[in-house]
Amino acid sequence: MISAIARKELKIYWRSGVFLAVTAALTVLILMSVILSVQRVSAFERERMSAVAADRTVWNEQGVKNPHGAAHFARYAFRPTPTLAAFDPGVADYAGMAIWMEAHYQNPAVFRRAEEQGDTGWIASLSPAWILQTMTPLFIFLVLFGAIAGERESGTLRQNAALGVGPRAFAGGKLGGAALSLGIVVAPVLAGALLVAAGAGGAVSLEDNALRITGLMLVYGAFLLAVGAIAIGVSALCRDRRSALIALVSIWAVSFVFAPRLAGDMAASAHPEPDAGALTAALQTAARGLGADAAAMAALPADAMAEYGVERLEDLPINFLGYRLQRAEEYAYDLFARVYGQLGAVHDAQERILRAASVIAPVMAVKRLSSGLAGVDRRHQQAFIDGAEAHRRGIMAQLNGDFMINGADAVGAAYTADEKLWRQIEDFDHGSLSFRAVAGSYLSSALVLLAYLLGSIVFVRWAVARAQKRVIQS
Amino acid sequence: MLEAKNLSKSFGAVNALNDLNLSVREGEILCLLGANGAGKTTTINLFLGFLEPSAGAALIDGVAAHQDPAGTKAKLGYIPEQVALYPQLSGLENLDYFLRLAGVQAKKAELLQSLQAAGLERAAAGRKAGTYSKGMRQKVGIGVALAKKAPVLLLDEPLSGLDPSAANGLCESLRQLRDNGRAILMATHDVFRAKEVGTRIGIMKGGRLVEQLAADKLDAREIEQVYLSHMHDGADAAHAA
Repeated sequence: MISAIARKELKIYWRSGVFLAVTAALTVLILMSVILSVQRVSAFERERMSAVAADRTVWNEQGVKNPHGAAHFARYAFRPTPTLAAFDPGVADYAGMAIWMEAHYQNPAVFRRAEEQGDTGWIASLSPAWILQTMTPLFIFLVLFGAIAGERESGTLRQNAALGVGPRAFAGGKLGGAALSLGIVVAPVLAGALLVAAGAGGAVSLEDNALRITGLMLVYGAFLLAVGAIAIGVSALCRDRRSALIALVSIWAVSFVFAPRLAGDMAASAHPEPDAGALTAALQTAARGLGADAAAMAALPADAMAEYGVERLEDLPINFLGYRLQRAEEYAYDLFARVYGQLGAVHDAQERILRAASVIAPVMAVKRLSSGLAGVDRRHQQAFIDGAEAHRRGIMAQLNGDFMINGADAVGAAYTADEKLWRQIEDFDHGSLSFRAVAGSYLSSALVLLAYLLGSIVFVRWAVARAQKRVIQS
Repeated sequence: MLEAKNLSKSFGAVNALNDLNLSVREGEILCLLGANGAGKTTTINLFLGFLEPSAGAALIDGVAAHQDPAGTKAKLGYIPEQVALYPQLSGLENLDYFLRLAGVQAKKAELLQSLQAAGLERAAAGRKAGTYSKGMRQKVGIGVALAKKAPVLLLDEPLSGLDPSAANGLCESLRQLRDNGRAILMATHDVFRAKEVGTRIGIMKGGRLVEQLAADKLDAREIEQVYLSHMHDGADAAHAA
């Protein structure tokens, strides 16, 4: 019975001018957004590659100097283009994409794409993910608003009931037919968009890409199915098609447009980020680190002598200045961790609010899952920052180590190194975070989405039963 | 085949149906006449299993409709005043769909045969139902009952709004169904058509079956007189009160 209803729905939808117009518009929108996004991301990737090459050349050709001078000359860590940034830009455009890895200082990420885009910035928001999260529900509502209200108005709801069609079969058939009709269009377009977007993103393992793409297909499949169930359920609760359309457009405006924006504003105002001036001051304090700790500074010579088993400073087999610089780096680790930890705590608190808001606006859970799977959320950005910091520490250890060992006979900073050393410093190659490694952190959003899907199915069954009861008893 | 046993239905304080007893055997058409609110549609809804009786039972082949709605619906063909079809589908596709809901899968030739037997022209069967007149939609409804081989037919004001030619065609179809052994219960306001197709005529008033007449014993004028006398009884009583 369910399959008969679903097949009939499929036939009706594909003969409906509204359905054809809406699905054509949706397909064109997604394809256009993919093309625009891929062009954008490919241009960014080309820029990044050329910036990486330029940074390497400038570094290698900096000339002869003391390794600590080179540490201040420094290198950049450029964020790899997120795997599926052309599908979902997430925070990628709003988070810094380069970190200057200099001595003594853990710099914040800089160069935000959003700042460079000027008047064309709005194009970035026309991503396939945004269209699927925000516009597709509206399109689904426009197609399905008459799903039950129309049957009620025309009398076919009663006719179906007279043939023994119960609410479970009717709701199942209606939802199945709508899912099939839309799925025939949306699934291949979505799969194509993801594959094309993946081609434009940074290089990751095939397995990781497959996992992310499958995850995104499942997330959007579940989300859009739930949206369809909501549309059919609301249609069943309304007396006629007109009131169903008004109700659904209102739900769309509140739940899919205003609520996410409101939740974001609430999170930002409840847990404001420290202003740029305060953050810079805190970082500068951390950078002074060892230099500001007179006791630790005073203990350094003794520490060095004890470590190398000598009685006098001049007997050290290393350059003491290099030793002090490395100790200063290590001293600052905890200080920077504290500053960035406080900032991270603010972001965590904001995220908790957004996660709670996803219970009333489930599109928030979808946004979180989508950006996570696309590799463009805060977690992936943090992995880049952590990777860059680890690389910075490695560079400093390498330069300071060279200074200590090869500059042992030199006085103070008189020791110099050349291109041979600079070429030993490896490029920053963070790669991409494996989704398998972080999948657990998206569990709560996946559960919200699952609950939303199950709840919407229960809702549509209940609403159809109510509509049938009303119509057969009238 | 179809029997109401002490059947009553109340909606709150309103008694829509009061201790109704009737039966329709195979090869019979019982036409229920009555004013609006007499209980005709409530009777049909009870046989359809749409309503649960307050007392008594609506039996189809000995089984209470409210106790086994799926089983009893399988034996029913239902033709409402307005047969609702999906306008985007052809008559043939509508028939196919409604039959599938009833658990019947028929070949295209069989579907066409059913529609033709119901009086729908072959050329019209392939046209979108959105272009159909009311009479054509009724014919598809009859076609569903025919193809489903439903032994019992319930018709709720099927003649209202039909032009004389379409009404004649429907009456002819009903007579054929009766002669093929169907038990048919039809609610109508049309005394003359009731006389034309009915085996018996029941007059309902205030939720009661107040009179049953053998259609072949009286002419249409006499049936109308009996009907009007029952209607006026109430009006006179109300007037006297």
